[in-house]
Amino acid sequence: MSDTALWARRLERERRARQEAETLLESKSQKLYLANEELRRQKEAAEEANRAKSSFLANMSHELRTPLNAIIGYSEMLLEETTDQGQSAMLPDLEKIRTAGKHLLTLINDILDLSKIEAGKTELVLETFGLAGLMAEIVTTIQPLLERNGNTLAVHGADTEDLIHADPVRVRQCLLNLLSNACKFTAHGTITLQVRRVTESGEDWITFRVTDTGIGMTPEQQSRLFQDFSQADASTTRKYGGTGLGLAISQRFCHMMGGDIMVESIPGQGSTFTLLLPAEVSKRPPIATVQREQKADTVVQAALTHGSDGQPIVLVIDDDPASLDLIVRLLTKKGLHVVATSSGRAGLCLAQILRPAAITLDLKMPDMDGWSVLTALRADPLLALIPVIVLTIMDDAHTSYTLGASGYLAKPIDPERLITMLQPYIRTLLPAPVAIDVEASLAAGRGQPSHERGSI
Amino acid sequence: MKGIVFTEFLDMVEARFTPEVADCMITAAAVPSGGAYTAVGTYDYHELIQLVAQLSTLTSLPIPKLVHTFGVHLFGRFVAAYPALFAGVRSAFSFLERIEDHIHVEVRKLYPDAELPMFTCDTSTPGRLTMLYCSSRPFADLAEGLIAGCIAHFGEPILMHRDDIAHSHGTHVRFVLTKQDIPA
Repeated sequence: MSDTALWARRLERERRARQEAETLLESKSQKLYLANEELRRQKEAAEEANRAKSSFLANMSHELRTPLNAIIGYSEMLLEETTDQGQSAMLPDLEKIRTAGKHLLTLINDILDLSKIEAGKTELVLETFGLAGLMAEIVTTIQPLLERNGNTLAVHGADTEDLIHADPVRVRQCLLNLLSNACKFTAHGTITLQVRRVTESGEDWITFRVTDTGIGMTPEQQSRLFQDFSQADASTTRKYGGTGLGLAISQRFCHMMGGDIMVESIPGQGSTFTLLLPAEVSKRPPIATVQREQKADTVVQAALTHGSDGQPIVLVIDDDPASLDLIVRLLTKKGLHVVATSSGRAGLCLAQILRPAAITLDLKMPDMDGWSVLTALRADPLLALIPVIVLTIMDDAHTSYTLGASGYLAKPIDPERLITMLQPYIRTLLPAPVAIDVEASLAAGRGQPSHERGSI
Repeated sequence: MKGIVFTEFLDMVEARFTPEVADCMITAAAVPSGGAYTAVGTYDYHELIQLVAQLSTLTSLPIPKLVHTFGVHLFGRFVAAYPALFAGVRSAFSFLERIEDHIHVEVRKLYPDAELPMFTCDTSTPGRLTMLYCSSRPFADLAEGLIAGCIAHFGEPILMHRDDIAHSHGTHVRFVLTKQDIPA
């Protein structure tokens, strides 16, 4: 057999295979283009339908409020007149009309807020105002609700002279929502309101933490918390009332201002809601908000889950939702207390607020890459000692260690190796070690590389 | 049948034998496609049967042995080409149990027209995996080779027993895999 003839036949086969592959590729590309066009059309139709629904709700809510105001107003007037005339037998019925009317008004106002946000009709009115004045006003407003369930309020940081540039009406609404929830789900307990300014990467943030000693929530209940018309569960609605819109609305206002709301909770022990806002809210939609619209989860989409009380926190920073979910599930399954965020910038801010026992860090993130996060962490004296495990698809262990990573794992993550690497920093939570590698522990304490030595 | 099976088969024949053998095989088989395969295309499975038959004639090796060897080779190529399928999978049993519910599901997403065999797994006996292979095409030898490749990949001491279901002609076969480190 001639070599030339053999290779000529082979070449001809390869050429035909290439042509067939090109035809297939062209056909697939065309199908993909048509499918994308169809998806775009359907998305636009769905958005239009949603706008129409929101517009209808907004109009209906407005129309309903007018007669309802009359019902509430006249019931209050009748209450006064009946009291004056000494007709006490009618007072309970009139009180019921007024209470029911107010409840209905709250519900309608919430729906109006939500539909306005969804229709893009909510405008922020930004002002610079003092935090001390805001806190004093809120403490006064919340007083009747506090007394209803015999709760006490402790306020920290109210003497601050700090200012915030934000929408005061929306900030007040969010804070009152968090505090009224705390009052509702706590009986004869303590509610704490704490305000702090934190600086991260040259950006100032204001955090408001509302902590209660109430009924608390399971991680599963927390996962439904920020959905519209959703409470912890159906029995909560039956027992405590409410529409399940308050938190959803508050979180959307926070998103509009470039911030977020995070929750930590332990069933039977209480909850902490953290309201995070930029000290200087920008009128222009923050980058994070734009990304959130595109990705449904960006700035500080923090999901907190819990082990037992007092456990140190592991902060997970990863922009890939699947990867984030996987790590959170893995660590939560081990009984760890996990806080997760998909943004590098928000991760830095959370690190300062939470001071976690360890951080897992992705490298490729859109708003602030892992190298920058790691560099900023190591440059901050308060955060420099927090061990950071880099989890990435990038093959660059050397740079990770040079920048101060305490460990490095390539994705896809080996769950056992991740746990082994975290173990020196969270060992109180995991099964008691047989022996501790002192060198690794010391390295971990200094934030030095302990790649393979992290096992105990 | 997906083109990747054909392209991998030709690669194996060229590597294990010679390009001349591969060329002779294609010429003698006179398959409709002319042996011009692209991995993303789809071809009649009868072409593979014709190619293997010709290879058997050219090399004097039995068809089942050739197909089995190809199965082992193909599994190695899957390992190299699709590492995501193996992420987090630590044993041959775990991988084989995932074929129907995970791997075939993913394959169908990419290639809705793919005609895949069905594997039914039974793990009710500790240390033993029973897989029932059912296909409209007679490629039980290929399945056996793939399973052997999987066992070799994970390096586990597993004994495979093949039980052909009567009159199925390689379309219905029960494979019983028993771990050797666990007493029966």
